[in-house]
Amino acid sequence: MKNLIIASTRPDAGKTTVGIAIAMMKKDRFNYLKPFGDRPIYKKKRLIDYDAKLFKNILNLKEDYEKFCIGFDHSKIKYAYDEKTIKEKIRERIEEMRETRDSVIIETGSEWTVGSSIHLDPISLNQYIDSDIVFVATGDRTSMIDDIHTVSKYFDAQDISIKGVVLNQVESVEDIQNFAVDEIEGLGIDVIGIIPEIDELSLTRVSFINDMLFGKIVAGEAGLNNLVENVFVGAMSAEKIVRNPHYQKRRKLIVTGGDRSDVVLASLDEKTSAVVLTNDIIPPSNIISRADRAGIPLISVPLDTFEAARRIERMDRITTIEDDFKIERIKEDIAPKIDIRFD
Amino acid sequence: MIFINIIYVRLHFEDSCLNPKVILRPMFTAISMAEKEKDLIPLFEPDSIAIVGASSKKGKVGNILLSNIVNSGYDGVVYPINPKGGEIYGKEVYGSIEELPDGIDLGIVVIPAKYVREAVHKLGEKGIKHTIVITSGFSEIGNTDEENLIVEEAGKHGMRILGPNVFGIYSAKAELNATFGPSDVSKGEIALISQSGALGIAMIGKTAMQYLGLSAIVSVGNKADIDDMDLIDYFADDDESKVIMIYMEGLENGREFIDKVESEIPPEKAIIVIKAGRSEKGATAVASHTGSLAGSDRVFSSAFKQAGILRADTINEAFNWSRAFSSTPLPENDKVVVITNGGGIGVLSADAAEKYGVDLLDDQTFLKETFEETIPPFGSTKNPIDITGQAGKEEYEKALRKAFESDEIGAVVGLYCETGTTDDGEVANAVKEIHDDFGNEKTAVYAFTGGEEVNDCIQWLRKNNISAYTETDDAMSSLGALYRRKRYLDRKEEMEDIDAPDMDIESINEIINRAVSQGRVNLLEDEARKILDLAGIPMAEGRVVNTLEDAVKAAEEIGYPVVLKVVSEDIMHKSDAGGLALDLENEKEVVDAYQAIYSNCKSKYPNAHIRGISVAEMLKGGEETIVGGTWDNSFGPMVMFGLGGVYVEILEDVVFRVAPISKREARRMIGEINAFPVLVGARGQSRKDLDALADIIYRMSFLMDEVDDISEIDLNPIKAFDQGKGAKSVDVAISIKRKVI
Repeated sequence: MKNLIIASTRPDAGKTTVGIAIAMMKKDRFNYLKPFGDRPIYKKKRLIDYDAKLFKNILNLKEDYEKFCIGFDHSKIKYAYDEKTIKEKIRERIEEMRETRDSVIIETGSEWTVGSSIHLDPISLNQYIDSDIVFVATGDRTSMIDDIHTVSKYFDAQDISIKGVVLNQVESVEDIQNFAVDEIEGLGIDVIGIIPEIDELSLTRVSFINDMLFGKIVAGEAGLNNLVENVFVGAMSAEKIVRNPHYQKRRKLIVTGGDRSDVVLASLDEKTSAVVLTNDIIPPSNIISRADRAGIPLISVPLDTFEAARRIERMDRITTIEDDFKIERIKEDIAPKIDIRFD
Repeated sequence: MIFINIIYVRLHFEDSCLNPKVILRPMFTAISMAEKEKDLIPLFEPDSIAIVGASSKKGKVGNILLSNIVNSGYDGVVYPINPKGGEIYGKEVYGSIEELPDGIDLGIVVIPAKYVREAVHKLGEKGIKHTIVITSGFSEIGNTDEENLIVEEAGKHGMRILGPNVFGIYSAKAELNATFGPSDVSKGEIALISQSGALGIAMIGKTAMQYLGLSAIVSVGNKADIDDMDLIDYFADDDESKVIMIYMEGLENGREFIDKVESEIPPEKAIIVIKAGRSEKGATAVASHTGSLAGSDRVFSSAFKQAGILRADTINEAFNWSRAFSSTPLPENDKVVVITNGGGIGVLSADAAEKYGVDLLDDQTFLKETFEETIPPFGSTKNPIDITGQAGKEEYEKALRKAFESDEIGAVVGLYCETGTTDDGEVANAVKEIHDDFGNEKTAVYAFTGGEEVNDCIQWLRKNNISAYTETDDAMSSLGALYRRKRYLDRKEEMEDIDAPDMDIESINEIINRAVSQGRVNLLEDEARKILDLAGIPMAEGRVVNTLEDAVKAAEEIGYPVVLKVVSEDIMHKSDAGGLALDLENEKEVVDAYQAIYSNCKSKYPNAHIRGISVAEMLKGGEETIVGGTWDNSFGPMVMFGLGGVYVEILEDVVFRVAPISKREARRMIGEINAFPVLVGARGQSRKDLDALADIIYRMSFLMDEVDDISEIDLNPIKAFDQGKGAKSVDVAISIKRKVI
């Protein structure tokens, strides 16, 4: 079976999600490689990639975590390798992985140009590894078509064929089917999947948010697996907050100053997933006890409220190994919508 | 005429926009060519007084004031002024200031605010050199301009202004009660300065009730001219005042205040301050640990302690201490004996002694020899000396006499519990007789616990100038205050001249000026390192690199293990941003950490300017401490020491001093933190190099004092290694003062 390079037209297109979906079609036949890591976790002096950790778990791979990535920063790749040795390294790694599985899913950078200067972009990889390339595209209809046109022109010039494109997170499947598919296929690229937006996949766990913010759990550890769907910044009076319709949404994460005991107290209900306490201020012990009893995490961060909210907003809503429900959704709802032949 | 104006730019949020508002504020008003009157003697000992706004109407301030002056026993000449003329309290009333004779010492103005300036002008024309402006309605309600004009007007005539917004003055020397407060004031040795009018008046009443004698009371009000500094000057020389008690809410020129106290106040006098108003940390963001720990109130406490000023938490506490200072001498030594007729209050006194830093004499042989014959068989000579509930006048006198006679004993605490079988008055008499016999030779405080009759005894003892209290805790607290004063004076005697360390201040300033020219307020790591090096403060070896290759090379040259940290003026707390990696033992770990730091910081602070990565030696072992410097608006440069690490702001085990300080003082700072036992080797741990720590604190204090542009310095943590092995800073953060345009 040929190796499969998965690339995307732009960041956050859902490359990992599509990769999981494809991998799950032939779970015991695929291995995984992400040459240029972009979702680092640095713990206990080890640097591994979130997505690599996820694939290792889903595909039950035996390799050490460090095997799935070559580097996380251009400086590292340039320090350790030159053009010749990086290609050798990749080939060597693929060979090792094919000893245990038939093929390797190779996930490239956040968008298709990433890694060009260090020969880890999809075109370079395709030129020195026997592989097919699948693209994942997202955006509204016109931007998707623009992106695919650009990719197509470039790849044609390099005389490289694209196995297919998956149109992901589309707002209207019907719209895309009617107005985009023909144009894309007219470029000689098969549309192998049209995937609608699935809200559940954008949920994030409280533990992940805590890790990303370098927060300290002050209370409610039992709720670290709570899912977050909505973010609410509690900057006005508690009275106004509880009357705000957005506050009534479920799975909400409240971001407020640690000295806003009134807001924290008002937030300790069944619709709250967690409260982020900003400015490194810890609320009184009675509030901490209540949060503990309610199982609602209080996360203390040194950031101000605006910065904390901004970072949470910008966080990648990625899938982690704890997200069984997401993996199940991918398997049930996304994989069947992808029509790919494996050579 | 010289005007000095300072222009402020105050920033307001209006409609979500930041708008500047320029405010022109004259900070110093006119300094006229006529010399300002420095001598406040005519204020407190006037031979004649003019009262502008005297009134015949009962209840009016102008009436109460005049009544108090006339009835207080003042034998100087009083000139009431009121356009209606006539006579009030037997004094002829003048229709206008112009009608007054020349050569009057003191003016008092109690007329509506809009007429005050004119009155001051006219009093000035009459040659009056001191005027008290009782009238309010000036800077305390925002009318600073008019207040400044009044002072300016006074300045033209070389006149000093007390106030505005004051209740007047009381002076025992002149037998003058020129206040509109209570008329009943006992004479004594305590000078009371109050920034609050209402509280000051209330305190007058309270002192009378408690038989606390006052040498003077003065209300400073808005401090438009005469301020705490001037009054300190006066009372330092006033032989009637043994204690200066100050109620203050704010202190703009804190540095000047404590310098004056340290240099002007003679050893036999004490300053007791009740400082109210725990202020907020300030509107500007505080970047450093030192800055956030240096809340204004904590700084005040430290600065006062450093200058030997006793800070009381409550008015009662201040009164208790004042009583002790005005009626009993400072102790000769640290050995204290407690004599009690009750085991219970004896135990309470032992607890209180520990609380207030009073050492009870522990020499059992001496105690037995001295007091054995004063106790019944079932009594105790273990300090507290329990002469038992049967003790009456004779037993008390015997025991107290022994204590007073002994040169070994530095201070005596006499405790009495009402028993029902003993005559309370007789016991009080015993105490008085001892004091009659021995005069004021021995430090002694007393606490009598009981009902109404016991209370009467206390009042009687107080009237006889003996320090008697209703609570054991109050007595011991007062003794503790005496000991704190004594220890401060002993230290002051030992104090050597402070030698400045060898520091290249010019080069340090160059580094700072370069940062300023680039518009930065936070120095980069290599700049801060260089400054520490120039200041002789040791730091973990390290350098800043810009490539992975150089990072690996630096790690190899420095030697593993190493620490990697992001260098960016936009990222202050590196560990919170994922910009710190510790204990890296080989090349691979350095490579991974380098990538992780860049990735974390770029994602957390996408707009941060990352100047590079610092590679430094990892200092293992040692105890983590913090040394910091900060600029306080009132006291100027301050130095801080405490237990360090990431929890420094939670534990807050830190102490402050006004910079600069000597090495000896730095050593004392180390001894004051709660965690000090850890540094000297608790639970089998080895003693740390306290001399090395003291040297760092001492150098930090000079760095803060001599480099004007530094706003804050954080060295956290400083690792203190075993004795003889030094101390080194692991990290440094230096902020520059923001210039006001």
